[in-house]
Amino acid sequence: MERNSPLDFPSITEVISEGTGIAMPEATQGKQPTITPLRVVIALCLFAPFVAMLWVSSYAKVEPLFAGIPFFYWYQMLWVLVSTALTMVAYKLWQLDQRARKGGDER
Amino acid sequence: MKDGVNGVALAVFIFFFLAVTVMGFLASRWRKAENENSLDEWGLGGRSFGTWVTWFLLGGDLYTAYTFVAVPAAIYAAGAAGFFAVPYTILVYPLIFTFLPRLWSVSHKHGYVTTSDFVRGRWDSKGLSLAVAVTGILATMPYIALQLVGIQAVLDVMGVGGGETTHWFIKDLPLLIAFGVLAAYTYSSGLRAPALIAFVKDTLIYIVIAVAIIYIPIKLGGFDEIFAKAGEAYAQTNPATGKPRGSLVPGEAGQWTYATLALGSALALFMYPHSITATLSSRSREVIRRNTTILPLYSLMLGLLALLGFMAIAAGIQVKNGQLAIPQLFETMFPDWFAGVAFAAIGIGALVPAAIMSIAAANLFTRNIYKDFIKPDATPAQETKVSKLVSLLVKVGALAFVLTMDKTVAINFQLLGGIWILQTFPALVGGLFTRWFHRWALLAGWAVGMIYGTVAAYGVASPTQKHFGGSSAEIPGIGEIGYIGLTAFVLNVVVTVVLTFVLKAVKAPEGVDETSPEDYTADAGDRGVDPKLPKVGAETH
Repeated sequence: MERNSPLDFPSITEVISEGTGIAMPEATQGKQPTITPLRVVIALCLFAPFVAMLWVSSYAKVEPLFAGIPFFYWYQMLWVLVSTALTMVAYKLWQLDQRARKGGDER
Repeated sequence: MKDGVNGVALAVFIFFFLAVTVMGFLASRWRKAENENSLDEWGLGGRSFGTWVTWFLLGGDLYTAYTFVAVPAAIYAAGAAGFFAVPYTILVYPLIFTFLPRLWSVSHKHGYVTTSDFVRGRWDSKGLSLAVAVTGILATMPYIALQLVGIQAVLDVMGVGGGETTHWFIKDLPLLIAFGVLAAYTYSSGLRAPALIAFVKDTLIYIVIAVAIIYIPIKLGGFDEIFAKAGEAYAQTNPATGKPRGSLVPGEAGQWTYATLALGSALALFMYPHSITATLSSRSREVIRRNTTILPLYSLMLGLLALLGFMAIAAGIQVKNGQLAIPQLFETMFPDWFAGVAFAAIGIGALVPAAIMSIAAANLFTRNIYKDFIKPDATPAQETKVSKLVSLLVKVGALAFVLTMDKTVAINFQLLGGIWILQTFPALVGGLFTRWFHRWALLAGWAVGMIYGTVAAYGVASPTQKHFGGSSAEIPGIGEIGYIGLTAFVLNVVVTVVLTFVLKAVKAPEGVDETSPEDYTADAGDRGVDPKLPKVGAETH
């Protein structure tokens, strides 16, 4: 979205250059200070479930069974746990990121 | 179905029902604030809820009685295709992690109570805000009706629904009572009532699921046995379609449908007014982010619940109306008293979301129709009064809907509602990240999405219905079968983008954005954010 910023309102770009205000790690293509390795990791954590869940053919099978439950079902239930863990990681990293930025800005 | 009334189950059910009724009325005293005659108080619980209350409230709100009944019912009917609810709820949380905190911040800063408030402020367009409000109300009404259908299913199985020959008044009396009680405490306590009752609801639900998922498979001979029997049942040919009833895993052809349904539903969920109401009632943006890490517990529960559909098949449950499969399974498998607990869980599971939904719809009406178009100088006290009355009207409407029309009508409308509400995504979520879009382009995109979605859904036939037979149709240009809502959404975005270029080229007036970039990241305690409440009605119009 930010690629359109020449047409856009300065507001968005201002936020980005200030660097304090990004709430969406994905929306960080563009200016230098906004992309950090940390944020890339956050974006990947949040994006991974989409790849896994929308790629249905990767899990549309019966075998292997787990406790009698077909793969199709237990795999998706497992992803509930995996995506929870990923969101938690994203949350923790986000806190780190914010703390670092706030510290830099205000002190 | 057993003949007659299941006395023990009914007694347990009534006990829990009375308990939550008392809680509902007492709720108005819970964390009471001084200015109780404002919409922030009645409609958002004073915007004071912390992580756990928000968790219960959102869980109580999103995982409704209808979910409990319908998801396993879909599995019972067709197998794998019904399981899309699980990936759907998995995808919801990364999505809301990215956009809800921004919505919370800007709403807190400007005193927005509804999504339409934000849309009006951001895009400076009452027309667009009206479109979002009307879509929200239209999508919510049938949802409330379905909650009542959920209560009806439970009452039927307990034997108090009466037979076909029973006088309609006697037959519907229990539902009328449940409804009257719900309406009364929502009116008096606002959002605090469902927030408090959600504790009971979720506790009961978790207990029931935990017991069901262990106890029933033991009685049925383990999961091997259950899935073997289910596999056999799905392989049998359905005389109405000449195809097998369903399958244990989706075939090639069903995979597009599965993925698009999961994605489309995930995008749509937090466009519903009731999910936003529960979100905005939280105390800080941290509460929301923290919640995305604990809300998936409900997804796990939903997955386990879905498995009950297979158990219903293995247990030999035969019902004409698939909605009754799970209540019937509980009655067959559980001792009477525990069946009563399970029914109470479903019944209360209907009351919580019905209350929140009616509050959300009422807020939309008050803020974005009444205040914007009818009485611009309404005071906060007047707003609250109107909201309370409308919340009653909305419920009466839903009740009339359920009592006078066939259940399939409510289900059809709910299906349409999902398609419709997704069309508000570009204006709302788009608006949270950029103001590049043109307001008129957004309105045009919305209209195109609404029309395409409605027409496409009208054209879907099923063995039992000529129209609105399902939510999937061929995706133009791809040729696969996919969720209509998502196709309509893509069309909506394309129209919006193209028209934005055109409108910018001709320099159409863009309106004034009343929000500023910092508003989207403001948190409680930051400069300019009132630590307690924004003053309602004091926002910049």
